[in-house]
Amino acid sequence: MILIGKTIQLRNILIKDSKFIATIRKKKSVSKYLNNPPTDINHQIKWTRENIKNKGTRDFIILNKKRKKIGTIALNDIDFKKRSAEWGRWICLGNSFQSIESFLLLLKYSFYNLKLKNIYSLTNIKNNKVLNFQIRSGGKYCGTIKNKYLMRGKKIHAVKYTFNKKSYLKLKKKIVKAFNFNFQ
Amino acid sequence: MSNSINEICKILKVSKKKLIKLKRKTCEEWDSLAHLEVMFIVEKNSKKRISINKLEKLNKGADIINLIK
Repeated sequence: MILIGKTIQLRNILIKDSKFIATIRKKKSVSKYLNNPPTDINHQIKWTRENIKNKGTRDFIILNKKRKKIGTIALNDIDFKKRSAEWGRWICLGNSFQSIESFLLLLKYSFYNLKLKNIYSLTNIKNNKVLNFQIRSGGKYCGTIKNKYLMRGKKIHAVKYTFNKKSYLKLKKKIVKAFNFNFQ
Repeated sequence: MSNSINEICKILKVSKKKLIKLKRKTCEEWDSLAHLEVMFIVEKNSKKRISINKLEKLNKGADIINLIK
């Protein structure tokens, strides 16, 4: 499946993406907030294979217009009864437009294709840049989960933010209005 | 110009004095959405159309101030 935007595309992950995923998740700037950075390529291939089979997960590769891989984004723990899912694994090495559009495409897919009511994120409490992004994007604060992650032997709290269709449309409108940039 | 600088300071949550030394890499408030908001203000204040590539490279407070002047 491919979701097409103006500056990027999202396509389902494939086993052959494992090397790319492992490489970006090992980047110093990225891995400092990951609770389980890949140890090696075989570990990543195993993880990718399991996630492709998992019906409660949708992992995407972010491609630029030249179809070069520039990142990852995902939905996991999809609960069709509660109509909710967690979003994350968001790593985008592209520009700001591409980052925002990858997020908007994921929201669109969640609310219009999967018909979810809300999606939430659980962000490392120390990852201020991502936390600020969620506040600025219209995410609703839903509390802090204590000792959610174990990172390098330390327990880390996670902050929960939720997004719904209304916040998606508001964010999209904000970007379109500011830049006359017709996001998909 | 002053209004634009004030708007940018508000987005990035810094004082005017600190803006000049600010770098995107080290500023936690300067996320991708904040960057788009800053770029919008820069473009609004510039008489020329600035390319996305050039706007994307505006990663320092000093460069932003120079472009708005």
